[in-house]
Amino acid sequence: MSELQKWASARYADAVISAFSGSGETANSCTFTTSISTNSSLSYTSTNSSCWYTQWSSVIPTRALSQWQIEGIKRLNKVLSLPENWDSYGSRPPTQAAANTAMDLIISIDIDDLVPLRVVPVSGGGIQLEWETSTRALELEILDGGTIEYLKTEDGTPVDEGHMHRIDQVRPLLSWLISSQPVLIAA
Amino acid sequence: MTASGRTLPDYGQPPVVETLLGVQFSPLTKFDIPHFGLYWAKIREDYPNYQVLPPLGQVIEQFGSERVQHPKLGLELVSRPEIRCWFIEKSGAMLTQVQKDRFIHNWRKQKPEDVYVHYDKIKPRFIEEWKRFCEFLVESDLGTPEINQCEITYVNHIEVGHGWKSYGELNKVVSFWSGASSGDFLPEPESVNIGARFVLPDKKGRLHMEMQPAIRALDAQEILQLNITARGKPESSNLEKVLEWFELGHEWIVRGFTDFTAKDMHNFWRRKI
Repeated sequence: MSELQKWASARYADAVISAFSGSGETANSCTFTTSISTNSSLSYTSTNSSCWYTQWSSVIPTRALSQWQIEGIKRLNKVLSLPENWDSYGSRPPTQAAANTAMDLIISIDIDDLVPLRVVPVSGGGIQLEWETSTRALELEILDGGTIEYLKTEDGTPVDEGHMHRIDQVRPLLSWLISSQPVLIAA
Repeated sequence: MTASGRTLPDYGQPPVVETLLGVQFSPLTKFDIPHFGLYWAKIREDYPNYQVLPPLGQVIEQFGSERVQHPKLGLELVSRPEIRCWFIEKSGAMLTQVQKDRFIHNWRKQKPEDVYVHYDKIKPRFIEEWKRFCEFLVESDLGTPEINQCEITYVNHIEVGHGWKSYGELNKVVSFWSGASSGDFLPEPESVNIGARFVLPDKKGRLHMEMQPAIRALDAQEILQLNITARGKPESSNLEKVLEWFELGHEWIVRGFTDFTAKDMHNFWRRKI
């Protein structure tokens, strides 16, 4: 439960909160409205000054990103500028759908201290994102239409694979990946 | 003055990716959620797509003993949700934003090869759309907007690696930034954010400049986003006075951009006058 959700639960202790929409900072650095619905009667909360930017074009301020994300996005930019027939087998460059999904995936991950991300093109217009620790690896293949397939390997052996239906499903996959990293305990 | 009649600084390939003209007014108390749909019906042929967003907060430039208001995050119970609607033009290049106390018209560049649409082309579109909105308000008996602020914003994307390579060369982009230090301790900055504001003549408003490192969502290009906004109160809500204020705001944005940025980049952007 977020701090704001805890606050809302305490503030509206006499009402059962049946729906809650969050608040925070969007990619364009604007806060957005929080709404709470109760089961007794509908109530809406809103920020005094919510999204105060009028801009339409979408950017991600780098201050909102971790260093691995910035480096990963730079690699993605290079992959997106590949020409037709980049693999000499007639492949097209990554599609806009694959690029959008790759970008959404990278910026959605809220883990600051993650191993470097490799971004590689896939024949047919796809993109592959790869993370690797000393024993485990996670590959996310984004197909030309923007759908995602994952592959987990441990000591070079595949242990699990499947489809990702939502971007937030990457979180448990990354948790699995980084749980193999050694933890330093101070003596 | 050029053959086009322009007297302000002009560039062949400016870094502008978006411009907007907008007005803020006292909330139209009778404007309710169904009116967004009724207004859309009026413009739908030109603006077939829509998106619903949270509303923009009221922003007013204040002077003297009045405190400058910064947006605050707060919560209050209201009887119904406030919304803002985006009505997106067929081409995807124009947008009209409407809420009960705002009307904004945006143009954006969609592809790198798109040509920048000058202010003298954007302004008539704003006038046309604003008149259409006011007609709707009259037809629907929703009142007359009492404008308290006008706003013009230019969004510029200054791409890293195009005319400059790193923040150690920021002095090639921003004339205000010397890049020099008093000693030799600090290395080249990893990133730089700059914010500045200037008062318009006779306190008719302010010019705000905000520069921040960012990544463009469309192509993952690393950029410096320079947003230049002129905001202030027109003499009255009369369209003529609103346009008079826009002329001032536009002049300050164009001249301000030219003063703020360095000559090296003016050449890169092919300055004409």
